[in-house]
Amino acid sequence: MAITKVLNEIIEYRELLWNLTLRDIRIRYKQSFLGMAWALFQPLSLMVIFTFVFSKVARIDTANVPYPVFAYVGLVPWQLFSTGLMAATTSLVSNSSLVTKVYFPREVFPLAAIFSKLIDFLVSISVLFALMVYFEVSFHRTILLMPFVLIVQLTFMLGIGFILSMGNLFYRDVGYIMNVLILIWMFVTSVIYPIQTNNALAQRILLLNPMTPIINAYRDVLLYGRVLNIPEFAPAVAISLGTLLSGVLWFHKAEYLFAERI
Amino acid sequence: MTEPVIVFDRVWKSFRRGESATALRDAVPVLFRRLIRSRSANKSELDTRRTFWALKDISFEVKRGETFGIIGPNGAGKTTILSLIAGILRQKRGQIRVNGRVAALIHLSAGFHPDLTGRENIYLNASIMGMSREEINAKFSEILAFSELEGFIDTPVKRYSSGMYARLGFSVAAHVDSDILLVDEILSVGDMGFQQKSFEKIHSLTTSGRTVVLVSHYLGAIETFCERTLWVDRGQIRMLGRTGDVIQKYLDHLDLESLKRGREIGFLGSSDGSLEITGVDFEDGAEEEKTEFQHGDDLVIRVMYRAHKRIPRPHFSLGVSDGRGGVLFLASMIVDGETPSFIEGEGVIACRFKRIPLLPKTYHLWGSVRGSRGFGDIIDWQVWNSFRVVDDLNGVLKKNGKSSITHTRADAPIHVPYEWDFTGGTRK
Repeated sequence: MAITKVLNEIIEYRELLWNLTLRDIRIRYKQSFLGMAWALFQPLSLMVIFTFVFSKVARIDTANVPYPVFAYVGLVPWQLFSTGLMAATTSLVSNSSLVTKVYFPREVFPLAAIFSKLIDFLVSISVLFALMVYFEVSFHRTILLMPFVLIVQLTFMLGIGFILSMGNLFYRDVGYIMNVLILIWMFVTSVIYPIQTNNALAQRILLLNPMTPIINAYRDVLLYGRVLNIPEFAPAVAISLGTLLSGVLWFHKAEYLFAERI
Repeated sequence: MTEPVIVFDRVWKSFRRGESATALRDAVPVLFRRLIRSRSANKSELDTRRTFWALKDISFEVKRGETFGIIGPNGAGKTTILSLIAGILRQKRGQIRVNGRVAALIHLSAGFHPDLTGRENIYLNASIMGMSREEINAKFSEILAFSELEGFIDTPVKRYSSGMYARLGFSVAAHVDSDILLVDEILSVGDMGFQQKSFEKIHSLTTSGRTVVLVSHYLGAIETFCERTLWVDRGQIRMLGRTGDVIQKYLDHLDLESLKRGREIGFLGSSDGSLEITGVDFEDGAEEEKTEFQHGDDLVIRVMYRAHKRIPRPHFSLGVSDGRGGVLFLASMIVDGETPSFIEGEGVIACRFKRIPLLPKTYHLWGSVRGSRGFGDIIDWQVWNSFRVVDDLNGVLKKNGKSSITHTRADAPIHVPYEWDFTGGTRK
């Protein structure tokens, strides 16, 4: 079966996957003075900006959690999502010399691109704990569920990552479209405000985007001490798994064309 | 030992040329045109026009432990064959079977990243070639020693010279453990010392029982390493067989091509139009025009000219080259000082080289004409014509043991009779 074949190949080449991930991390911080600290720059600065906007312009109901922490918990997974997806999108094209000259399962490129952004996520999440202490947000045991939420997010990201990297290989437009699309996507997701409308249909459509339930789930387990909201989260899990499965199969099917069409 | 590890069975490979778009902007009109054409024009005819067949009906087998050579001119499909074995490309038709782990020494530094250090790149590149961390750890010092880059191993490779870059790439690739090793034109890496070393390394790899497929323009390497050789040309098999036979045929073919090119010479004349060379031909001693000679024949060169005005003391020079830089021997009026006192109208100047010591190959005749006292080009130094020496090699070099075809022909075109003397004894 195609899926077990892909899995076996990836397991066989796990060393390479690890080394490519390491390469992407090393290159990113190699010649920068602040190094890893840059991982914090984007979510922290956005947090400050949105805190300013939403305290002066519009009030948001964040249920007892200070807005900066609320926003930060949304921004950190979103940063993983947007930077990971962009890196995955260009991963095949930017490694074209390897794609055309050496054989190994091409799945490792989008995988490594996304995994390499995990380190930024971990750094940012540890700062979240500092913020929670500073803003006196209480810690809950549900925090242990966070890895599960992260895995669901990665599942979804990998699924789209496979499709986008392939799309960008055949048509470079995909990369340009994604630049804009990611920005729009952020504003229809509950990154800096809760997504809620009174229109039931619109609400259902907005929840089809798995990123909203996923980010809500981060807030539930990290800030509110709530176990996952199953009616909302379960469809997101299903959509993520479906995306990954179709992404992998499609990628695998088109793989043999990559070297000559890149 | 006889079990085949690589099998190509009637393999065809095509590439699309032209309208395969990598931007949507281009894809939309292409799509439109296809829609329109598929109704009006014959679709298969369109496909044929867009398809470029890089390999046509290629079949061969490589046995376990064998060293197999592939030769042919640029664009013949050699690298495409290697890419198919490696699994980088997929064939259009036919069957390919490959049993075993393949390591490709094709593009040695493909996996290097300029910002990473030599050490980091060794780990990265070795894992690209399928080595595990333990294997790399075990071989690291060996790789490092081979590359001779001990002092620079923690420097980012972007600061390396291109020679250092290539040395590192070769060192990693040559230490990969694999069942099948693909080698493509990598023997020209680094300086002379390193080339010798990599040559020896390849040699030890070919004798270590693993299967090697070697692509090279350097026929000496093919002849040294390969038992059997495949000659491809424009995607088709020209010949497959024992290396010596294939190389001999290949060299014959190259010679003929080079002869054809050498004889396709257009107008030869001075820039001011005062002198034209209207023809250059060759004769042997018997005054018979010919282009094929035997080792030891006299070579008479006849230069027909038309001088549109009186040219005093023209200095003719004639040299014979085997296609590499410089000439093998030369007859020059500039050197010997003999010149006609003047030329005017039509005439012939002839020059006889006695008993040419040349081995079978194609040779080019170069010539020039300079003004009185040997200064100023009237016709500058260029190829005037070509001829071949054909002979049974064994007739010239009748020695015991096997004679190497490529070495005599490619490396030493001139044969001077010689004798060994073993009477001096052995020094202890």
